[in-house]
Amino acid sequence: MSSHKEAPAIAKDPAADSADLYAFVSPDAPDTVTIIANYVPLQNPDGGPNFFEFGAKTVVGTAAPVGDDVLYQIHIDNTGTGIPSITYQFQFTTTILDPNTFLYATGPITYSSSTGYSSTWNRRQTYSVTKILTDVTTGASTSTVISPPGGFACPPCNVGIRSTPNYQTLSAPAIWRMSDGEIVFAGQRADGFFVDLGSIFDLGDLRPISSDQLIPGTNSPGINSLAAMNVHSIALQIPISCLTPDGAPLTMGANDPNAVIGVYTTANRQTVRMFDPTTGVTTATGPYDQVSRLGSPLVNEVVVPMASKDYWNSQPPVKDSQFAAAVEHPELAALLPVLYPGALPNLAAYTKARADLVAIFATGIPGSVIGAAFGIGTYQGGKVIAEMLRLNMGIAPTSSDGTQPGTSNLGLLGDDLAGFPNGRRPTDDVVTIALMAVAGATIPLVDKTYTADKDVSVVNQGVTASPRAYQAGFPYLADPHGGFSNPPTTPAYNTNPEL
Amino acid sequence: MPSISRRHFLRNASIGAAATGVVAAGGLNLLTGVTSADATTPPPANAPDGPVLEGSGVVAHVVDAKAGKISLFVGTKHINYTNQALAQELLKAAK
Repeated sequence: MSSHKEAPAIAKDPAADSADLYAFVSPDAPDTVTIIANYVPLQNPDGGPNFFEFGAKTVVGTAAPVGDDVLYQIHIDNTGTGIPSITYQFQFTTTILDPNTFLYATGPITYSSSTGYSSTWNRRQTYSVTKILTDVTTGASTSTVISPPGGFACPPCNVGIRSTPNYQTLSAPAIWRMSDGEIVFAGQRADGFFVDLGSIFDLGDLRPISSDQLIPGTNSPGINSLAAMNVHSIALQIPISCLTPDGAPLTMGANDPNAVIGVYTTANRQTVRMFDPTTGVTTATGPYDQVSRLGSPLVNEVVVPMASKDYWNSQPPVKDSQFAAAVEHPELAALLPVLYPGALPNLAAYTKARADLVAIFATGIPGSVIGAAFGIGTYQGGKVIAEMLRLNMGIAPTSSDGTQPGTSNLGLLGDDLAGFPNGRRPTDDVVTIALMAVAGATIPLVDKTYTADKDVSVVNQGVTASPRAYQAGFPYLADPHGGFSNPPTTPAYNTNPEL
Repeated sequence: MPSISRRHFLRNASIGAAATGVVAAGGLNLLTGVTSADATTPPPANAPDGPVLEGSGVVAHVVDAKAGKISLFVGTKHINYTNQALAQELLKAAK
């Protein structure tokens, strides 16, 4: 969750497993949009000696790169067709300075503005960025490398206070500005997603309402399973004028015809991979095939049936009509009234196709659904079935941490249009939003004959986001948890959990 | 493995930054062993004219021996090739 290990095959390939996708108007730079694609989920910070990294070919000394890699992509549809017109590609290279040691760090890693990272960082990653612009009517595209020769540097993993002292001095220099004005960062971060995995996947035993469960327990607050875990982020901050079809800034705010974009991320691996037992190296050949994708959270996780999940991962959003039935009649909507007997009678009796979920996950919510209440004519379009994270860039950012009146980490369900499902901010409680939506909270938006069950408002995971996982500025997810001080059972964590 | 001593360890920490790394200004990355040619970005996914990567070889997958359908994988390309005689020959060799 939200897409961590969500499909059987990709669960075995963490480097290519998209975990979360965020897209939001940057709160501190509202003429830009920030997109964060997370990979390599569920990292225990102390996971050495081979610490976490992006899928990459490896360079040792002056030899040619060997191994197989992952092609990471962030796609943006700004034409409402379901076809991306802008794609950013990221490919990583791992370099080993000294192949004769097992150490990730051969001493404390430092950074100098003149000479870069110290040679004590033995296993490091760099990456290239390629921008592809596609004319969706003709299919013609142009591809431009927008990173310098040699690529950009990732920061090291946060190993601990001896190997990576003063971590902020190592991560801050890894934010780069690209030739088109975008800002980019790629590397380890604290995982900002918050979810109670132990309760959700134990037959949906939501701790705050456990006493009402089919197999009743004791009510208690939820537990954030990811509170001390890290992830690898690819983060972009893009001027809005680079995201509109005409290259111009929005002039009509949320009602601007160019205000809505659809975003998704994919990971691709080459078709054929072969292990050479004489060298211990895996080589790859053939086209880069899509093995993972993510738009809105939880769709492949809990909507798509198990046998179709890896196939779903291989498909482009524009072909998502083949999965429409799973969205229109989600299994979870049928399960909830069974798991919480008597709590959701209206949901149990509802047999129509779930047009609300189709709008949220597949088409974007049309302005006609919420426009009257919020005065936003277009909102998200709502025409083409293509599962993406849709963002109306003309809606001004708010802070979902509750520090501003009228803001809510429940997004649309909390009357805060700047949050999920209008894009997704790191602090949005997408699990509770999705649970409430599936439980029927959003049906009245599209079906005035339906009255939501009164207990819908108490369907929640009861998890509070950890402030430690976020920072105010780009890339918005905070420095990763340090290995020496984590997991929280270590004495060092009790001394300073910030490390 | 290099010899590890307190002196070696501390020397790494203090002067290592000069040995290799990333120059922040302009994003120039001069990691040891990485030349601009090494870091050339591979072509877009499923690009039809991707380069043949040295050492990756050619992989032939006999999809339908009777019809002679063979999938060839080379570099970043997938080529559909039909040759009944070759398909049969490969099957024969595989027995």
